Amino acid sequence: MTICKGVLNSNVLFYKKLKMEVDMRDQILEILTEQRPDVDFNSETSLVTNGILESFDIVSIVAELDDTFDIEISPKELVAENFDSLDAIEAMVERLSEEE
Amino acid sequence: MKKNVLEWLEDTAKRLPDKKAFSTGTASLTFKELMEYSRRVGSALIKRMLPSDPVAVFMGRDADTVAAFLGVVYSGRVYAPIDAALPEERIRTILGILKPSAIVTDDEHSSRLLSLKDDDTPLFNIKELREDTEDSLALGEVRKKMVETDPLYVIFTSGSSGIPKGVITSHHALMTYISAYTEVMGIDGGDTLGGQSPLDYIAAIRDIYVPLLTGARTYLLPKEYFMQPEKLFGCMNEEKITAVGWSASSLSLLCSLNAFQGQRPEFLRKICFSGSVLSGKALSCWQENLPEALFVNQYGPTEATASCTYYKLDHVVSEDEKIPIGRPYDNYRIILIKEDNSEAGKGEMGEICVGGPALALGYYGDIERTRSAFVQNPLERRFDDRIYRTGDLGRMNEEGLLEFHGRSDRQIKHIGHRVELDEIETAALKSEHIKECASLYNEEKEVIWLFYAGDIEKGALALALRKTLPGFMVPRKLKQLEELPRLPNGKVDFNSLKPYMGL
Repeated sequence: MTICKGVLNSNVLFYKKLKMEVDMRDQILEILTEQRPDVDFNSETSLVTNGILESFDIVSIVAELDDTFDIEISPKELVAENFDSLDAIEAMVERLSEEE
Repeated sequence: MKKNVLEWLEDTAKRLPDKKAFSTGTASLTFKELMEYSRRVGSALIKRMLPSDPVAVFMGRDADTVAAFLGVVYSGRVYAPIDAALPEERIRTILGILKPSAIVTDDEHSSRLLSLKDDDTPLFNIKELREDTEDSLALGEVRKKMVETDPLYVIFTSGSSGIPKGVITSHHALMTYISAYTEVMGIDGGDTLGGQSPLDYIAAIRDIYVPLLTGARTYLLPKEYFMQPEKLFGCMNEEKITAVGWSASSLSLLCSLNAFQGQRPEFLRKICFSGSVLSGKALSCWQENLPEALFVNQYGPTEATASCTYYKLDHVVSEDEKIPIGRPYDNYRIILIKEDNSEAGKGEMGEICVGGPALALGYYGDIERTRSAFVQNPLERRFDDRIYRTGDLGRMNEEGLLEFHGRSDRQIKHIGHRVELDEIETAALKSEHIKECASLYNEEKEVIWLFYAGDIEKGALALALRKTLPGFMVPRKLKQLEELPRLPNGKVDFNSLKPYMGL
């Protein structure tokens, strides 16, 4: 029984974490789309490198991400690798949320 | 005084032949190389027997682009820089106004140009032009005919009717400004400038011409570094950048990104900011982090060759302090004119008007708009005295320093660029799905809004706007409404839209 309960708990945790991640991705996508409704963030992978996002887009996005996820994106994180795609932004937000 | 920018180039190339003039992360040109390169390009253009119309330059942010500009000047023509990143329709409009005698481009941009050019204007690759041999006789003949009031460049800026205006400026005006600027900033051959702006934009004239006059070097900083402060400051330290003339918004942007939490630009000592009002909060952040540096607030329109007044900061500002725009540069005249065309007295508000040799020659191909903006000084009835009415409001304070008090029309300054809100509305109304719309600006947050009624998703609308407007002009906040609120007289009620913007 104890084993079963353990399995059940870990499943619940797993789904909870999965749901959080889905929420996080959706929230990030919403922030990005709010700033730039003309960009397809699901497919672009060179948002900064190809100059799709302008610097004042980044400022707004960073401020929104900081507020929404209660994180602090420091200048050291402001590199193209962290902002070139939705995946990259999500990975950064996730990492910073865990550090908090 | 010299009468042609090429004399600056030639003097400096003689004095400092092997010193670097322009560089990027991948290439550089010394003064001698730049001069020889430009002379070959000039010779090649002369040989091609083009009409005397301007030559458009459609290239990236490289040292080669500067050589292309100066090459056009050597050929006795006016250059018109066009940002290759602009949307197709805008480039077509600009080329339509300009009717260039030729277009100079590079490998990277020639295919884009070919796809949007629909006439038989000759197209030259810079690589092909620079292979030509120098014809010093032909260059000399051209130069003999040139005078200092000859036009140097045409730079395009936002126009309220939706059609960009090409501001055409003379050698003399440019040289008046660059000399005055260099003196105020104390820039000499020992300085390295960090270029921020695209080369087609008015602010870039400092990065292009200060080296020719002083022997300083300009390093063109990559645009994307301005969103990556660690990289930006790292690069500035590596290149030992000592002086910058940046848009006020890039200074405040870097503060918003907490840029100074990492390294600071160790060598930076001379900072000029312009283009929009810089908040005391952002300026004090820079002053505290770079206490040894000189900070200069510059004000002025493209029509007065980028500037008219400057203010050297002599104290660390407080967060809510309003920074004056100061005093006229050397050889600039500023007058404040009230609505009744009389001069504003001390403490009185008036329209800022500029006079003197730094005035532009007008708007290219548009005598009508030129005549309505460049007018006879209403205070002078005895002889011709041309002034430019900026449309900006100003007031002289107790200490004799000019203060900026906004505008009387719908022109705004957004992240360093001049934007006519009317132009955004005109662009939106081109979409058949838009019934009506109104554009407003939240100055504090630096966000352009567009309120619209019509059957179109905001994503699709933003995409459509991107096809006609430069990126910075595309509203970042789009709000669809059933209909726009109206005042009893039928005009759009802007005040009732303000709550949407959090105002």
